[in-house]
Amino acid sequence: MTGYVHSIQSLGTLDGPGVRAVIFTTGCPLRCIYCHNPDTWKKEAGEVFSSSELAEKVLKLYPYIKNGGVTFSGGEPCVQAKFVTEVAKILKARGLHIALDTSGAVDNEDTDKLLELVDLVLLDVKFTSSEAYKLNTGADLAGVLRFLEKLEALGKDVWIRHVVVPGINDTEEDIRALSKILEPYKCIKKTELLPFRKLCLEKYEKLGIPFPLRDTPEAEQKRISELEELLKR
Amino acid sequence: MENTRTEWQGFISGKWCDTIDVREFIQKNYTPYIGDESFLAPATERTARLFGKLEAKLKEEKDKGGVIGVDTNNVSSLLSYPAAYLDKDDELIVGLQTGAPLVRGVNPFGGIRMARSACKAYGYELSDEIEREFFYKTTHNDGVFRAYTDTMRAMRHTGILTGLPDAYGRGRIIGDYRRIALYGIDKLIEEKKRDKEELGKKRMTEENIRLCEELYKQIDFLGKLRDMAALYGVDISKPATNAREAIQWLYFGYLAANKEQNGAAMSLGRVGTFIDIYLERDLRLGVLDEAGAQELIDQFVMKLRMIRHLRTPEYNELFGGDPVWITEAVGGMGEDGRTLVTKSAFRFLHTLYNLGTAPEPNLTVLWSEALPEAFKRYCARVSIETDSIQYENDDLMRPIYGDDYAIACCVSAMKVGKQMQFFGARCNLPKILLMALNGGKEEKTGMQIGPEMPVIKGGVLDFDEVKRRLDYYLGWLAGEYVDTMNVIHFMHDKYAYEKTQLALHDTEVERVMAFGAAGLSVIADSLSAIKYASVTPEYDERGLVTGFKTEGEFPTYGNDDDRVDSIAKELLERLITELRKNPTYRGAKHTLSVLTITSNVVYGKKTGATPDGRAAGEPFAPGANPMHNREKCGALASLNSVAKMPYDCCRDGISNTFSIVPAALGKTDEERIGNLVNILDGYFVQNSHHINVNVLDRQKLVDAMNDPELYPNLTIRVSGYAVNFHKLSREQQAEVIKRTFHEAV
Repeated sequence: MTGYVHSIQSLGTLDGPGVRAVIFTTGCPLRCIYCHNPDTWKKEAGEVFSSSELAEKVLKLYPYIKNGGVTFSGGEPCVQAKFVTEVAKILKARGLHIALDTSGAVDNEDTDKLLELVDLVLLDVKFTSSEAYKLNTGADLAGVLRFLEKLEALGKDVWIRHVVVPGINDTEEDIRALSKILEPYKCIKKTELLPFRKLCLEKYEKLGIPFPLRDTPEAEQKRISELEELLKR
Repeated sequence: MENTRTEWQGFISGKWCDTIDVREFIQKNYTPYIGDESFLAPATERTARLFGKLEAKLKEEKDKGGVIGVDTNNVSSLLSYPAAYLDKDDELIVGLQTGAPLVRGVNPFGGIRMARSACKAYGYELSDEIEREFFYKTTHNDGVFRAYTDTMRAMRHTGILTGLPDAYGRGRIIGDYRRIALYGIDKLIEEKKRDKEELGKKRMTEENIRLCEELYKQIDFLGKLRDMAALYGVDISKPATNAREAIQWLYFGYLAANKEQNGAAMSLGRVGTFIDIYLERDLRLGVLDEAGAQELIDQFVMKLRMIRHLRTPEYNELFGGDPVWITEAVGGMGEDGRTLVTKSAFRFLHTLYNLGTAPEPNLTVLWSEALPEAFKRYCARVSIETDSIQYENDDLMRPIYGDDYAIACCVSAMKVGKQMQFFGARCNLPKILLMALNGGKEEKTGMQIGPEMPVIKGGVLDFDEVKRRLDYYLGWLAGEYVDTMNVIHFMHDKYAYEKTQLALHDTEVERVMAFGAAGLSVIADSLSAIKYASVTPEYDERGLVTGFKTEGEFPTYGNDDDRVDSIAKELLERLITELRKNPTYRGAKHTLSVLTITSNVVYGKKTGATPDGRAAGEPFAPGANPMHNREKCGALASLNSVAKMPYDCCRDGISNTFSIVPAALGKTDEERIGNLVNILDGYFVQNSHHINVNVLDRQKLVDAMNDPELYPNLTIRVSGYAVNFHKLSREQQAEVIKRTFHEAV
């Protein structure tokens, strides 16, 4: 089958363990205020690939990524879960480690099938209250938490990656609340805080979409490190 | 033969005792090391003191605009200067190039004009004696220009061929300096005398007469080398008896070569494993400890860092940063499957910590998938922390050159003591494309240099027609290029023969003639534009094509896209095929490199606009690199494109300079090290040849450019070698900053 792909980044070292290829698929049901990939919102905006074409392209990188792996990111890769599953199957057959970078917001049978192939889930809980989640992403926190429950039940390894935006979710209370939500889950192997950046500004301008956080400052690494200390306790 | 010499006690004997065979000595006696770096020792107090003196001298040199002084009264040679020291009491390894530290000697054998103008550039005058003496002497440069044709001069003048060694030493010859330590000078002279005697039994053909005279010169200079050592109170007529002597003996050889020759690229070779055998023996005997072993390596490296040659500003444009290319090959695997990594491989890399980062010696790791994991990780750490080392593919070269090859200059493999090369700089491929469109006229001057043909007609360019024209002019170029090289090397042998270095080679030496190509990514992308987009030539008032309107998308080299990568690959195949059609001086084997040093800036300056959208005068990408910022698919896709370039056609090397920001390599130091090891393994397993690794942020370079005092020792890899960033011209600095820095996504 075919699917829509925004791009392939041949060297990723932050989206899972080791040297990885990162595939950005298009299509996302969320509209997070800090989204840095607005060019991946619409599925049809991507380039059409067949699953074997895409896998072949990734496999050209095999010598580098054989000890690392492949990460599906987006957009929301679960929007095209069937397609991603087909690609992942081919890559998995070559022994590659598969990571899925998801919001957890698209949770259906297709996602379940994809999860069977996935070694690691990179999950962003984004906001810790239902109100804030709804306001800043347009979706429900409850769905994400149900997804996390499922991962726990399946025993999938999970890395939580949480974008910290100044003035929106960067207080100590915010991080403590996050810590409290995550506490019961044994599947979580690592929690990373990512600083909010505005490198995406140019993309918004090009697409003619107003960027809601245009005037918000970028998060400082110092602040991120302070907040990360809270998570360790 | 039995191992009867006392100097060789403790060594396992073999053929090497009888005939000159350093490789066999190494194989029988070295100790592979698969552990990590934890054994390494810091600099001793003595080293620190001496290094303080050297740093003060380096600062003085920098403050004086890059040259501390020029000895304008003596012609540089082995016995021109008395013994001199940096600090006699603290020096364990002695010997300076001239009468004082960092002072440059004058070497007019390549060309008196060059020597004169180099002196002038730094405010010195060549002495009357030297001027008088050389008034009656034919230099290499004189000889070449007597024989150059008008076409050769025109090609040189317009930059179709650039950097030719016709006014300076050709360099790239690696003496097997280890022979001096293992055998002593007497034995080497005896062997050469025997070779000469044998040669005398043959018919005196032109070839044999020439070799006879060369042998005479080699023997003469081996004697001079012994006398030079004697000036320092050292007798090198017999083999070295311990590690300090072994290093001293071979350093004297290297020093003598540098007194005699100012070659571009004076590689050291592959001495680490050899030295390690002596260090191990001393450690076993208890006469040395690890601190003492490291001290000897540190002191040796300090001496290497003091080698200087006097160059003109034009030379510095091509070979920026005052490089000597004291290339030392580190690591690699043996043919028997044992690693050639010894503790001394670590010790050499460790000098970058004990003595700070520096471009020289040009430490070149011979990478193999089979290298010990701990060594791979240490190399990656050194790269990340110092940006001072480069990597070449041992798994690719070993089957061709065996396991005792070294690297001449940046990327050229040579069997040590058995092969030499005729260095040939490089030709400008994008310029040939423009000449092909302009019917043999050079686009800047309008001169008819190549065979005449009508200028290509207007309208959208047809790929097949352009390709036909290009192939024709590549054939023409190849003929002229080989002829030019033949002239240069005939004259170099005649007037500036490398007596010391070739005395440290087998008498029957294999020769290669190393051609080079510049602007690979520019011509590949240009042809891709013609093939996949729509390119319309624009004509100037002379009726020549000097601009292009390029419309539409086209694949660019550096994105792992076979549509364009295959164009680059086929061009190289074509070029070497054409070169091979033309006979070479002394039957040398044709080789080709894709390497530019810093001349990519000058090449770009001398080349008109190209169909890929590059404006007239804009720099090319260095070596085999993709053009700056045309890589859209990330670092590994870029590496994959370069990895497709065929080493079989480019035995002189394919250079890739890779810069990545630390954050893109991973979050923690440990992650970065592991990831870099995986990247290097992944790159080399695909038969790629070379990579320079820089791990740094662009902003650091911008800051260093604006405020040189901020990072006085900032060292970066540029193109087969490393430089002190502040020693590059502003133009070269700006070009380095413009290059792609792979970022985190």
